[in-house]
Amino acid sequence: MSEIKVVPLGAGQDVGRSCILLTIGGKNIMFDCGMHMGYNDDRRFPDFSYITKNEEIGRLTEFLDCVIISHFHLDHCGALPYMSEMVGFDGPIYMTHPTKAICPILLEDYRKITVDRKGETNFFTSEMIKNCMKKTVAVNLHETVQVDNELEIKAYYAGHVLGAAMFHVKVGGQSAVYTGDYNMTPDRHLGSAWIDKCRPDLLITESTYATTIRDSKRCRERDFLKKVHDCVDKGGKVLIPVFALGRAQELCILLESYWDRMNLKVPIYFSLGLTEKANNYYKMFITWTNQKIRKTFLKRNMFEFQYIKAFDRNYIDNPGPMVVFATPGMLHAGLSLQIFKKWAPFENNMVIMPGYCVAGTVGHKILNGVRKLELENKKTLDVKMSVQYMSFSAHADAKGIMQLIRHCEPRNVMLVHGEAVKMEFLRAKIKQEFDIECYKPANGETVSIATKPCISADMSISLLKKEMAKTDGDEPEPKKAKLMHGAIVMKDNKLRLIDPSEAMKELGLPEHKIRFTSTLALENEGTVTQTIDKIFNLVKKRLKSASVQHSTDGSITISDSVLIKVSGDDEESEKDVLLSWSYQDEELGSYLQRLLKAGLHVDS
Amino acid sequence: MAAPMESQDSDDFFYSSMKLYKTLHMFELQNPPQTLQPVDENCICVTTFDEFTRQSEILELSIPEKLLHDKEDGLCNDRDFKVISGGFHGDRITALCHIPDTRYILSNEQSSNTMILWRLGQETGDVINEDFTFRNPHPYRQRPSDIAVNHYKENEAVFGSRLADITIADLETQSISLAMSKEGYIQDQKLGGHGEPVEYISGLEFLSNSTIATCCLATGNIVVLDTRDKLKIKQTINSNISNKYWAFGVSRNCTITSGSHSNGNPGDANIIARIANNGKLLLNDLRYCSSDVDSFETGLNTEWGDLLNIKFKPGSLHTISLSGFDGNIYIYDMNQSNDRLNTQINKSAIPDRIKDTHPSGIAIRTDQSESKLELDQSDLSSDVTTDQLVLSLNATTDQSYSSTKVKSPRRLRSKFKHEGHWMCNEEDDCVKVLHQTWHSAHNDLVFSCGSDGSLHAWKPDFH
Repeated sequence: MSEIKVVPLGAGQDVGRSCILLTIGGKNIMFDCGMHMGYNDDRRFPDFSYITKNEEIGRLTEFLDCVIISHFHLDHCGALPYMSEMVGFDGPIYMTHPTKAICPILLEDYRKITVDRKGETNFFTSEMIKNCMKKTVAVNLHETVQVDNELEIKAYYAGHVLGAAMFHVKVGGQSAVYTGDYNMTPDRHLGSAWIDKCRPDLLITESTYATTIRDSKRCRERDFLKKVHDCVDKGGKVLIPVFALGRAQELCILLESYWDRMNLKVPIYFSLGLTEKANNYYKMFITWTNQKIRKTFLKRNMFEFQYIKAFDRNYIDNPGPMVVFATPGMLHAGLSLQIFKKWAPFENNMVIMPGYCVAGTVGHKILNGVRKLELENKKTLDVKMSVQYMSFSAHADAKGIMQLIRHCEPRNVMLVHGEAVKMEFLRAKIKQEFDIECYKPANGETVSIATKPCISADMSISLLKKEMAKTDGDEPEPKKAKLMHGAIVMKDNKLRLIDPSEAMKELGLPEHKIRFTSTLALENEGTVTQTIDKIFNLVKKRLKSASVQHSTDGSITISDSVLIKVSGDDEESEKDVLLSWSYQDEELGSYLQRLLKAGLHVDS
Repeated sequence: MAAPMESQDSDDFFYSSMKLYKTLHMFELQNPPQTLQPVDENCICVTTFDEFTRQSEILELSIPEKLLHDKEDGLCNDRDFKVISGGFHGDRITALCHIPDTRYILSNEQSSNTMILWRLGQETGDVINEDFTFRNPHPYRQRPSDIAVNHYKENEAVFGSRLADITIADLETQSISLAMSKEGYIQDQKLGGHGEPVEYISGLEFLSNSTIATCCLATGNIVVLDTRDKLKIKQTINSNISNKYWAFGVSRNCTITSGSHSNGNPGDANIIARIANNGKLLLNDLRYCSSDVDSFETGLNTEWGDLLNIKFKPGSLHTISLSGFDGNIYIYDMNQSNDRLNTQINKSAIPDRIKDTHPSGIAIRTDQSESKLELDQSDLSSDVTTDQLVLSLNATTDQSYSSTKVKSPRRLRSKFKHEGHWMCNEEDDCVKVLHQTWHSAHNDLVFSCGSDGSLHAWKPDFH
């Protein structure tokens, strides 16, 4: 029985780091290589010792056939340079084009924060990031990529962030889908996840989705708009630190619609650096956005808004209310930090953090309630402005995961990572609704799933014609299973179903035919000819579907292979009946034997 | 896969909601939520029903942090429900009742008048299991039971779908302790009024340790039963309004929270409000004359009243929420009725001179055919009450006037309307509100369930 093995790598049952090891059809694939943001030591990396300490497995390069990265968030790619350059992996790393473009930027930002600001030493360098990215292979959506002559992968649109993909992997008759992060409802700048009805043996997804019922995007937006409006209404300034891509566009579009609807005059700005980068990326990856954005972009620049203008540093000290989008997103450097320092001491002002911040950044500190910050010049900054944490990341939830399962029809589901929650209810729910098994391995625990791969074989034309002749040329129903007799020949890595005699010829083997013969004594008054006629009528009546014929020598032939011959004395009542049949007609031969043994006095 | 709900109308709704709501959260469940019940301060139980598989799910959900705090916490980003435990049932569940201070919950089922005891998820597992089924001694399959837990006495609950099958269950011994007697059944037939043997009920509530109130679905009559006297009818309060569907709710003068058994004071249940499918609302204060009725016109109307739901805001005697008329939930403050008042005073005869010479100077219109006087409240000074007017009339005429002490309907305008289910419905079909309830432990927090799978949690801003 073939099986698929899955091991989530990592220390302990925790969230925040994605790294799954999949063994399928003899191939080993690593999905994602994320960093755990909550740790400052080696616990932030996945536990590769599962592979490297095992002498039978050896080095990562020898063990892994490929690595696949689903999207650019650090909890999915943050440990990639560590894995490829410090642990050592020289094989291919697959990701989508936007992910390949954006990953190194985020990795470098993260490296700077961790090494330059926090002074850590056991961390990857800029050079390592570059070398790591040289090993990446960009893939397009819905493009089948042959990793080798057995393993193929295909990326599907996942929504969530620009470039996020779900991956389908296939080896022979076995397949699996890894979802990464995805969402099932479209938002203002990205579409929703979509996948073929690929019926994989296994669907691997995050367990937190299954146990969460998410508040709607509209309500999150409502709260965001309310906070912004309330703040500017009181004359305050709102700072929104953002990464160049992702939520910035979403929030800009949102504010633009609201400002227009409410006829607000308060200025909204975004920093130039933000717009340049964002425009470049969107030009490159326009096909990754949703239909609405694509239509808009064809007509005008992504950031040509009516109410949102380019920011100048001189505006920082302008009196009165305003809203500013500025990079970087975690307040660790640059314009956003500069603005923050100026506006923080005033309680009328507000900073809205739209995403997670790495430890060591100002963003991380203020989100943890720190209100007195020590600056580089040893001065203290009193943070009196309102600090708001509003995450807009688009994730599926319990309803979404059931939609995905319903759509792609996996044979098994595996829920990985997430907290150590009890799973009996969810397991029972998935079983009840889809009649499939659901697994939830702990980190480091191997789960094996038995699969029944379908093996496809070509069929020879002559065998096909022979079968069709049996059914008078009626075309077979495509979805109805049909029993065929033939010989399976495996040649040149292909399977073929052919006629046994054809197989014999190909193999150069002489074909032996086995025939059974039985002679019965039959009581019947009358001549041999009359006896033959009686037997003929009896058999014809009983075997309505078979071909029963008189041969020229007086014998009876049934289905061109079973032979009945009668001999004896016309004067004698006892006649000899010879019954002969081939091995293939055993059933028919046995039936005729029983029939004739019963005698001709039986009601014919 | 779903299309975004970004129509102009829904945009307008969300923009205006910023002023109308303190908090607004909207969730989508896989199947329509049928009923909802807070379990404790931090959790709720909700049932959903799949029309295709005919299966119900019971879910125990933890309430997101953002909903639990009155004071806004900018750093709190938790907006989502988490599934704590869940279970399944092969029939629709339309009523839930949590047993305070326990991990047990009671439910009904659509195709019988039984009551089911469920055990919520424990430390060792997250499955909600059926623990026991209380079979009604008078089985009936046409209507599910209403259920209520006795907050004044531990381990007691009542269930039934008709007057004739109201049954008291002992939750500790898992047995039936009291069922409606034959006499009660006969009474039921009399109350039916038209010789119909079946008097469906709409709701059950314990008013005290030993009294239960219920409302007759078709007549709106309140029936109070005494559990010390074999469920004999202790009191009836007629509605005198013919209608097809009624629902009722009870106010208590303090909130019932988890732990109410421990402090032994769940609060007396004194005020009963009844709503009819034609929008008529009746209010009774059981502390005074039981026939005193305050009546209101809500302006709402529906032909089908199976989803009628009326709830008092916890701790309030005059603020109610209504649903079941359409896709909205309406909140009314019965103290803020329309000033316009039409007063009816029954009389035997109306002397003509009353019309012109009443000392109060009020213009009195008469309608001889209906034998009533109509007074325009706008002509009355604000401190003249109906009773005073009746006495004054009695004093100035030689006719005796009697007042039925029936206050004529006052027009109520809703203090708040939650349109979220209707406004945010992605389909063209009309969405219905299946259930709504207040959370007893959190000020102004309302949960509502829509037939499109929507589950809303919101706090109206009354200011």
